[in-house]
Amino acid sequence: MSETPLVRAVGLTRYFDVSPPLLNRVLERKPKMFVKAVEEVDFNIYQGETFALVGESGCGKTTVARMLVGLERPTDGIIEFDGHNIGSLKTRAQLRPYRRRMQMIFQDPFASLNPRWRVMDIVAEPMRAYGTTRGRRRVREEVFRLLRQVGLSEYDSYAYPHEFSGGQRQRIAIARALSTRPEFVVCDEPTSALDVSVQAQILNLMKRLQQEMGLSYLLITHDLAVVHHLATHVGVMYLGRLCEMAASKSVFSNPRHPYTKLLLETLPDISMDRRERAPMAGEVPNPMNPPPGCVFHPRCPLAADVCTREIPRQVMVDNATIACHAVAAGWDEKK
Amino acid sequence: MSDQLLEVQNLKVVLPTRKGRLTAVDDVSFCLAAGEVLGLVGESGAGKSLTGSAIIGLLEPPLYIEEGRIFLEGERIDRLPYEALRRIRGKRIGSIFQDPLTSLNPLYSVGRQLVQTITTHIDISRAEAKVRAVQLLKDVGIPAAAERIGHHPHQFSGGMRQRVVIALALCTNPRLIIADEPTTALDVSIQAQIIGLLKRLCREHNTAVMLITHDMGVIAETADRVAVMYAGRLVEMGPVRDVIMNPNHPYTVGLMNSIPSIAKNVEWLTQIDGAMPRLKDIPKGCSFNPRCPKAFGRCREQEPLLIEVVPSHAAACWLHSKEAVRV
Repeated sequence: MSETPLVRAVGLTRYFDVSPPLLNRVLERKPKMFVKAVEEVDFNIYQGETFALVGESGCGKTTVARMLVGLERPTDGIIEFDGHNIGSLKTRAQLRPYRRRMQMIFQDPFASLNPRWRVMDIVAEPMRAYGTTRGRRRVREEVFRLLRQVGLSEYDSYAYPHEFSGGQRQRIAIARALSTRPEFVVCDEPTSALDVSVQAQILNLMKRLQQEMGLSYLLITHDLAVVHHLATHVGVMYLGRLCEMAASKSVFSNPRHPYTKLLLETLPDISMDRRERAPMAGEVPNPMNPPPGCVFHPRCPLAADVCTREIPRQVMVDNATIACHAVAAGWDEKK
Repeated sequence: MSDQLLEVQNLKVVLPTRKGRLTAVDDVSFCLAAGEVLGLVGESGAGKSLTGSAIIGLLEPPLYIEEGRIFLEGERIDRLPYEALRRIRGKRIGSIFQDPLTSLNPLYSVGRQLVQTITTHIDISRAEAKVRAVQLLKDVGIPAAAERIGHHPHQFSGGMRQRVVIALALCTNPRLIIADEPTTALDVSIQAQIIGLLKRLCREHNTAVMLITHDMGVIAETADRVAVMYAGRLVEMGPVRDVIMNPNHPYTVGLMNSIPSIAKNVEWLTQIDGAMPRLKDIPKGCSFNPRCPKAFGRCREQEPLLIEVVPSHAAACWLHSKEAVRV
């Protein structure tokens, strides 16, 4: 783990301008308004690792993923890919050499495949775009190899997406993502649209491909069980900020941040212990108007006076990075 | 069987198409006692939602009930005329759907929707209904209920909207609630709140719940009994603890093992290969046989019946019966 990380994010921040139109602002004296989708997020992803970002909807996890692959420009902060700062690159031509090395798998395999293209063309498109494989026959053979690798057959390359089930479509999307031989794959809720028995197939496939090809994954999901199964490192996001980041094992066996604790506590599971759970009170606040201080304090059982005033700094506690006043000061153990 | 609140016998729902009639729900029978929570699980397309819609008479044409009988408190309700059924829906059977935004009318305040539902089914004045509506909103945990009652659905968050929908379902004190994926559209921390709320209210009112979901975790936390559906048929039914801890049908076994859980540490998940068959090519015999690791000759020929393996725990699998033959 001493080598340089494959992907490094430092102080990654993204605001979205949701101001009313200029004329309204002038006439009605309304201020500019911003949604702070992502604020000062730092993390490293090393080669061969799976880093999972978990959080509820609207916490900014997808925005982080989109910034990493260059679909969204950060408002502030640094994104390094293999030692090069790609967050500041302006043109598509500058991004191109890096984009080949990173690919993305999306949530909805019904929306992410062009219904009018054959599977052959869908899987071959990135190879043609980046010129990683040239020549009709070589491309065709590469498509066959990729389809076999994800558990489909060569004959499937002549069919259209509508002829496949959700799980098979997700396999096609994975084959397409692998076609440029990427090192880093961003998986945005890869199994949320699938049924459980199919989800297991896709999770096993993703794990096998990672072992075979040494891929690094950024896994975006809200499903903690999927994270537990796949991830080596976990970052828990709440309202645009990372509140806890640690190795997967330690997050699940010894969660420190009160939000992580509550998330794990309230998760319905099949262990059948039937204990009465204390569900987390309240709801995620509006990101346009986040609470002052620690954004989690209105729902936090440990909240104290300082939490309503100061934004907690990230501190290292037993190899975990935690942003919480209670953990930093050590008063979380007493309560 | 008259002590049962809801009884469904041999329900068969058919979808007529140009290429023939497809059976979406096939020979489904189950009972629900007062105050009981029955979980209906299955993957998408297994027919669990259609079973729910058939009970409340909300099947979308051209789908129709071809066979079977449905009894609510001993009274047959599947052949009732529209108007009589309308009196039952909302009064004796409440329903909660997945997406709270589409089940509320965006143009009316939630108070108006509640009052309207109450006065339609119960003979009380609007003023009394309004008092009751405020109390209901309080019961479902909406803060400042007296002010919120004038708000429109878009002014509520997703979790709060689902609370309003629950209030609507409960406003006439129904004996049965059909909840179709009530927490699927919600975030995990909100999901736990809503499940807890539904559990508490139904215990207080002694309301039976038919909980339709694909989430085994929700079932494990909530249901008393569980029925597992696959390709339109019931494959296993029993007390929730037995079905989860000792599943009898190979499909349920596979399903339980394929769920990733933070309670177990496994390198690879057990996967069921293939996918559920589409309606037009459900295989002969047991519909699960092409994916079943234990399938043998008989599974490809004859359809197994749902039979009791141990008392009150039934499975439809030839592994558990060498004698039973479909008649």
